[in-house]
Amino acid sequence: MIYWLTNVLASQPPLHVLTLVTLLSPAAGALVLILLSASGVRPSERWVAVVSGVTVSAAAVSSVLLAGFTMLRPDNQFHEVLWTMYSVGTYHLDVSIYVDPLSAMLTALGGCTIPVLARYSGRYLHREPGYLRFFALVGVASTGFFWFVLGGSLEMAFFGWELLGLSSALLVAFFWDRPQPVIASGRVFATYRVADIALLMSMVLLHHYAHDTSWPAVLGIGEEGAVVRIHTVAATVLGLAFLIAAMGKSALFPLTGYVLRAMEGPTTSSALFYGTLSIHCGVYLILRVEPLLENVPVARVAVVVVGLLTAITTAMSARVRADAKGALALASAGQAGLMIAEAGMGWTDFAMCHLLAHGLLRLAQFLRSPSWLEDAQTRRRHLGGGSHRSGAYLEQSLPAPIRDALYAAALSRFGIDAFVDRMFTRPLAALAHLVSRPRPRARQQDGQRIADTPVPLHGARARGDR
Amino acid sequence: MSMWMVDAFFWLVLPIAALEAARIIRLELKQERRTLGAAFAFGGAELVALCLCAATASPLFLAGVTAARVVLYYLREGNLGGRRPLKSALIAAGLLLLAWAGPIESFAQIVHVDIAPVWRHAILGLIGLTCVLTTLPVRIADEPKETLVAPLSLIAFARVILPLGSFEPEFVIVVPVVAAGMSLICALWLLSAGARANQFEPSTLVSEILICERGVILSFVWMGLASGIDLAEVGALFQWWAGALALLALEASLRRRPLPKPMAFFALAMTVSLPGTIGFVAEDLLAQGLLELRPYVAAAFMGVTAINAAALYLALVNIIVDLHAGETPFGSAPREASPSLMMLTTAALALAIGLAPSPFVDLATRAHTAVVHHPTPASHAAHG
Repeated sequence: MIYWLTNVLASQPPLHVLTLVTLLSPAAGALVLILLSASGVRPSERWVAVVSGVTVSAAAVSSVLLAGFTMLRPDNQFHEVLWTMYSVGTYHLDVSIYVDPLSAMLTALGGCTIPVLARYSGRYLHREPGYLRFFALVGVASTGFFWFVLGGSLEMAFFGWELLGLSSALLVAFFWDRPQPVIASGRVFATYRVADIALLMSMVLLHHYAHDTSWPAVLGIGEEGAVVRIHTVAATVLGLAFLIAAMGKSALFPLTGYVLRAMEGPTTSSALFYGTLSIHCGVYLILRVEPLLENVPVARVAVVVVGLLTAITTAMSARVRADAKGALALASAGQAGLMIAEAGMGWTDFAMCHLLAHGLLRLAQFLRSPSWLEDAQTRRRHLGGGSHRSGAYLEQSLPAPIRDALYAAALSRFGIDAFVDRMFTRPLAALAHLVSRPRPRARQQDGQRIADTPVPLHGARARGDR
Repeated sequence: MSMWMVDAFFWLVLPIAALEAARIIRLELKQERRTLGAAFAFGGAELVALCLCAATASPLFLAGVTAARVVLYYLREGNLGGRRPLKSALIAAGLLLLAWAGPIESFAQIVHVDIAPVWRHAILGLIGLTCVLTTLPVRIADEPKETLVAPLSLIAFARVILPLGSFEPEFVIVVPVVAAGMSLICALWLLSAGARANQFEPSTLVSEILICERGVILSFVWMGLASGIDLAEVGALFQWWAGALALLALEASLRRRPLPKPMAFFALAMTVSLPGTIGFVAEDLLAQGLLELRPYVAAAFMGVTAINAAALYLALVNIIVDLHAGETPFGSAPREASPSLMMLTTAALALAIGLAPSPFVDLATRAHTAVVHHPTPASHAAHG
């Protein structure tokens, strides 16, 4: 009886239905909320929370079931082409899904955390003007996450990746009546865009070299006698492109700086993106293409080095952060760096467990961060007073001058952000300024034309500046 | 020889012609310059003129309609300033030269008639210069008078430059490289404008955004169409559609006050080719096609795409910050306008085509076959 039930549940039709519910339910919720918003109808908070909660929870339940039922299959895998989106000549874009232990694990993580966040946000954002917008964007982000994780090919993963990135940037700008969050969202978007282009490049390169981007084919690339094989140089280029994409999404060295700016968003969206889901997408990508890196030592070393550098720099910077969310964001990036290093060293199972545990822990920490002081006092009271240290600090074993110098450097984040600006942003801004001069019709201020000087692209312009 | 070519390319141009007509009607009514009837008359005249341009096979007739469009432009704007008369003159000159030097009665004859290289280069130069003028972000003040995605230039490019270019071996290298350079200039220009947003009036900045974005989109179209790769050429035609919808959405949302931020961000998403919108399909086809044979152009395409998206977001962010600083007391709830019918229509079209692109990709493929798959001179020679 159990054997029969297992076979039925793990067969193609139930999995097909669960897949569709997982992928389409949050999208439907987001669409309803967006249409309500566009039509000028202002539903009550209760209705918004119900629509969002029902659709997100349906996706969560079906995603957990999908992950569980797939694990009941003999090969622990489920791959299906849902439909062909378009075709030109021999080229075609298929909408497909692929579930294996890795994607099942991350799907289950998303399925467990998104409804919790939605429920928490319903109360946390009570009477916020952007209440409906927040839940619409959470729906878009959930859609993006499930498409990214369950997508059967790199194109489908890219589809989700971009949705996740845009919704993340828009949620950073949630309080868009203040300039700082809006400007911070610009930085987040620009960094994500670098990651997007790296992923798009790897998608196109994979088509070019392997003539296929479906995960089952990609996963076979590094193996002997696999379906598709590519030579080492091509695999190295591909591996580095994937690494750049992961660097942007998981805030790895040297692109870590944007997560601090991203903390301008509401705490719940910070928890969703920079504690639980989005920050792990880069790690997932590297874990997913790990078979490709198997025989590519250069890319593998680059992955490990980037991961360890991220872990070291962010750990030091997190120590000297004065704000709870900033410290948590840096700590998340540091853990993502460690996971990447683990993946680079081939410890994929360990990295998977690390990812799952870290996602759940960080969710709790982010959601408790508004009451951090109260929690600390409660904890101290229960421990009988006195100071409480949570762990060992290796740098304490260093001589005081070196330790102080390290802390001082960590305060400015080792100059990494300034270096990135000097190397990339400023030259680009200078080139843009050079190309576009002269500029007529400048704004007049007090009868004088404002000096034709460039505003730094990275600079936050305070209201008093203008 | 038939005077008409009502092929798939015509059907590809028709929706954009309708959008251009709708845009003219909207602008006339917004600016309160005309009555409803007069606005519809100007919009209808533009639609008819563009349809005739797309449907005709005769260079002389196309030159005539091009001249008629200039007259219509004069009647509407009351002057002949701006880029459009110059571009129309260049196209008309190229077409007259084509009709005289061939002599060519129908565009279908171009690949069969051996035009002297001097005249061929002159015609390519004249119409090519028009495409460059259309693309580069000069004369920002022209922006409201310009078309969305230069349909006449595309028609001239598809009907004249592509078949004439098949005689020139360097064509598939030179044009994509020049187009890549132009796209980079446009994207950098936009980046500069976005970064210095506080030095401009918001309306000027919107004009800068639209003109630069138009330049980026048209550069991609020329790049793909001239690449000689079927996939990229289909992608370029699709990009033309995607660009028209994105520009219309950008214009409709950014010019509205108070700014409808959600729609402005959706217009941005359309422009940066968010998956699920029509732009993604176009970008995917173009990138896949270009990488097959032109990896360096594909790399430039990717780079420009990245810069363009970041620049556009930066400009939009600065508009929001700027408007807020100028209009709303700090800390108060931001005011927002509800989205217009034009915004909702373009958004719905972009989503619908992006999510179910198959029939539209088929149409673009057939349009591509109609304009590109002429028998080449080489195959002619082989057949005897």
